[in-house]
Amino acid sequence: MNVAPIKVTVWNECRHEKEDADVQEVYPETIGGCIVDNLKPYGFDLTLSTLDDPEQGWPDALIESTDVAIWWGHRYHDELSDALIDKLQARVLAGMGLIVLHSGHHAKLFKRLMGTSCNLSWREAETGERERVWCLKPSHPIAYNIPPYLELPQSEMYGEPFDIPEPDELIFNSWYQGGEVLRSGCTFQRGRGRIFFFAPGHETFPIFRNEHIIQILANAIAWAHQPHQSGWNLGNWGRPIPLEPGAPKQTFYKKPRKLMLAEKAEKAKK
Amino acid sequence: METEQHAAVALVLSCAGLLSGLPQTTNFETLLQSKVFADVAAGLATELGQTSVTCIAAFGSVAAGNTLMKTPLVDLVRDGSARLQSLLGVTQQRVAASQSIEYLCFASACWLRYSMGFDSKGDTIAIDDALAEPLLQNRLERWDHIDELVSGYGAIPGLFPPALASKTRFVDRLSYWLCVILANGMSTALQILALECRDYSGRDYRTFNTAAHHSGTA
Repeated sequence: MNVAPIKVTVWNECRHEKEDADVQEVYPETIGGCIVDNLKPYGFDLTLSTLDDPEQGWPDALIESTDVAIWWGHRYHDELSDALIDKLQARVLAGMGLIVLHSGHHAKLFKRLMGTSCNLSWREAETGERERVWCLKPSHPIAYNIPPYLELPQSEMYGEPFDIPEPDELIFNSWYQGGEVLRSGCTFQRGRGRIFFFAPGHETFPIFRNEHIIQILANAIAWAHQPHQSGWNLGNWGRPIPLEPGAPKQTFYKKPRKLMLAEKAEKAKK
Repeated sequence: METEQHAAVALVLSCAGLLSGLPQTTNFETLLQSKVFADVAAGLATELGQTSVTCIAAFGSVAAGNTLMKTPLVDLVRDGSARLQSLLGVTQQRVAASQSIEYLCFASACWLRYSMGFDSKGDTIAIDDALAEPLLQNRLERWDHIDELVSGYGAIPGLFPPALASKTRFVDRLSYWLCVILANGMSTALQILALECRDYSGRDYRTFNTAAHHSGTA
């Protein structure tokens, strides 16, 4: 069957790459550029955008056409306008997939969709520390072609407590050299949108050059992709008539305020 | 489908379109591009004994002298009480045969809501209909209780066939959908109709195929 490629937008804050020599050294092509390059063989229709692009990297046409967004941000979450976050949130609720990486746990969009602080414990050892990412659900589509665990020799510790709502599915759990653990691969459904949070991805370590990490991202894209053509968001659902016969029903309905005032004025005239 | 039925379906969907407050929807063609309206058209077509494809194709059949598709919605809602009769006739037959009348009752409720003469913001809508006056009077006098309101509509001569207006099942379902529209507004009511009355017996799996994206990656 001939399926159109999934349209993926890799949104990268892309300021570390301009400001920090150690990040430039690890990712001369930028973090987003590295992710795009490594995902190319999977056949996705990839677009790279950044915070410093026009409209903070999210023009309306791109929001509308994106099937799945990958989000990497860290220092400048607060720069994103609330109006833009409103649009992106609505797009996720209407079916856009969202993959939030590493420090994106504090992104405005992710916190909005989770409804919690998304705080966690962390430690940034200069040379990093070992992270062992355990695959808890090997049969899950996101875990396709992933070994029972993978080791990242250098990582930033992200540990529990991680203040997120109970994930729909816990796909990966990380253990760190220092002894901490984290729910590091979590899925959530919001409206019609599928969300995957994945913790590995510190800017000073070449984590996005790891073939297993890229495979997980590719799997997550395919999983998060939703057919959008039939999507709409249900309004607040008033159920004036109960299912059970004889149960109390709503018999009076409010008029629009404007009409109510007009009719009141009309009555007063008479 | 008879031409009168086309006109009645167009009437109902136009009422729904105008009450939904879709600013970009000015004619029937753009209305049907919206999935939820196309779903309602399909549901109505089913209860009228047509396939949705036949029904929608018929709207655009210029060769058959049908120019509904390009007609502005405001021109399709005139004389609603007369044009509704072709749907009410089918409703009566389906009540007698104990068949589903959900979309047909929604259609009647949709027209009744439009005939109330105000939109979702409370702005006045001019109703061009022979029964406009008794319809408005009924709304003004019996607004405070839904059962009285519906009963009042049933008593307006020429609106519903008496044999249908006396059927409990018709009154119940008409009342139900009018309540849903009043409680939720038209836009959400259309979605509720789609959710509650969709045919869940089959599913199109074609759009869920993502296997192609994994090819060559293992």
